[in-house]
Amino acid sequence: MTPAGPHAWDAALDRAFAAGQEAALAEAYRRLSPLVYTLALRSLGERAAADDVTQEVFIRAWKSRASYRPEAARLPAWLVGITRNAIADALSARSRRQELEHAAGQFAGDGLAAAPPAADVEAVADRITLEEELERLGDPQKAIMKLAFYEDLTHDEISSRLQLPLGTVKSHIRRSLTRMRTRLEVGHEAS
Amino acid sequence: MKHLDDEQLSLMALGEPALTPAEADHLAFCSDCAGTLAALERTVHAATIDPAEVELATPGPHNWAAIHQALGLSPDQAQDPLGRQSSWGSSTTTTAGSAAPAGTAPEAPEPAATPPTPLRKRVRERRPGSTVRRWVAMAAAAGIMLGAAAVWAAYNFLGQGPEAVPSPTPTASQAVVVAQAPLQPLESYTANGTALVEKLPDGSRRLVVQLSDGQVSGFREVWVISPDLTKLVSLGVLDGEPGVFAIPEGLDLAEYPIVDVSNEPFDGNPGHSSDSIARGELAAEN
Repeated sequence: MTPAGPHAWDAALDRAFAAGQEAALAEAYRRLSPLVYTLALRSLGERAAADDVTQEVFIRAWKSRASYRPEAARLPAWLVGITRNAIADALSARSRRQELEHAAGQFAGDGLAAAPPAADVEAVADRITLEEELERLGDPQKAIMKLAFYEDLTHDEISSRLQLPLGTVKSHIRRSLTRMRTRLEVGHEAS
Repeated sequence: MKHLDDEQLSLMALGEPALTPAEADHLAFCSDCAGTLAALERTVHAATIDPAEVELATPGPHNWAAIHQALGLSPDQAQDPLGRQSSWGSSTTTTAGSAAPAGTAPEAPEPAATPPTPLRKRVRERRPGSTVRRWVAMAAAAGIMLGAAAVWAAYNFLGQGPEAVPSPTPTASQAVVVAQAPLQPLESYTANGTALVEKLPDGSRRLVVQLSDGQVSGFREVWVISPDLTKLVSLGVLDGEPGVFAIPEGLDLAEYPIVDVSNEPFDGNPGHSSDSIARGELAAEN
């Protein structure tokens, strides 16, 4: 099962979700629930807890669809945000529970499930966040970063491809990358 | 030396060689610059990761059942979407005139089995140098050790012969860093640092060792050692910071990739005391 990021995402789906079409919710679930579930599984370590988070995310998303604005964020990025919040909630609920259990002399021995390697799953979620940020950059920054990221061009090559001065390309790369880095770091602190 | 600017670090994070040897030296010793680079590299990694290459776990069907029930969805949607073909594409075509905007049919999402748009997957392979340089920078920042074989394949590939040694600066008088190793403390020590192999314009090589201060009971000696730790060559006593050691012509560093600094007692025994303070493996710089 592979996740689909916004690069393969249909904007009509976002609008249909906001408009309350159940088929759009089902499609969002079909495409994003494995990512949501895997992020939860690797943060929480238990299948039951990851199940709870997965259900919570899609239930929460559907109930708050009135506050979802397709023009401000694509559905994958919005759902990843909700997922991070739901995981954070689950972790704090767990630590409160564990404190109680320790106080009562009990120790939870839930079956732990093996989760896929953490770093790359996080990176996939981050990629969804970053694609959102990339869209917000506007041109020529967006075009520059796409050439650097996805066509693997050097700044020299980008400069001649887009007919922009070298110095301009370099400073756009610096500013855009720094902005994307900040976006990720803020996102992780918030969760 | 002043810090590297963010422009250079950004280009490096994207895999472009952007540093002079002097700047590479600075990067190896400066945790601020190495930290910034590592953060930018994580950003590039996330931006360019190919989701198709990451395996995800699949939630069980009871999850959708619970969502379906909690939200009171219509019976049409009862089947787990993960077990269906794209319900979205089919529903937009079968329920024409619903809220789905017109004109979306040609861009209907592909079935889940189709991998997303291919991205650059092999950037590091296409730029063989960046892997090693990147690793060196990361290792210097994070203190990672890497197996000898892969690194040495790269060293042999990149570091052989004067043509393969990059000379990004026009000033021929400058030494060129051809390899470096982060030095990590061994048990009971805390000192860490870096060893650089520099090539001078006359073709000679030298090892420059920088190690943070730590209390030792004897004196510090610098060695290069074979990967299986069976052969070793002493390069001399590390006294001042940094220590600079001539590498004898004919000493093949591919056979002795491990740089080791030992604590030697004043006992008259010229052999290695087996008491190592810090150690690291040389990786090619390009």
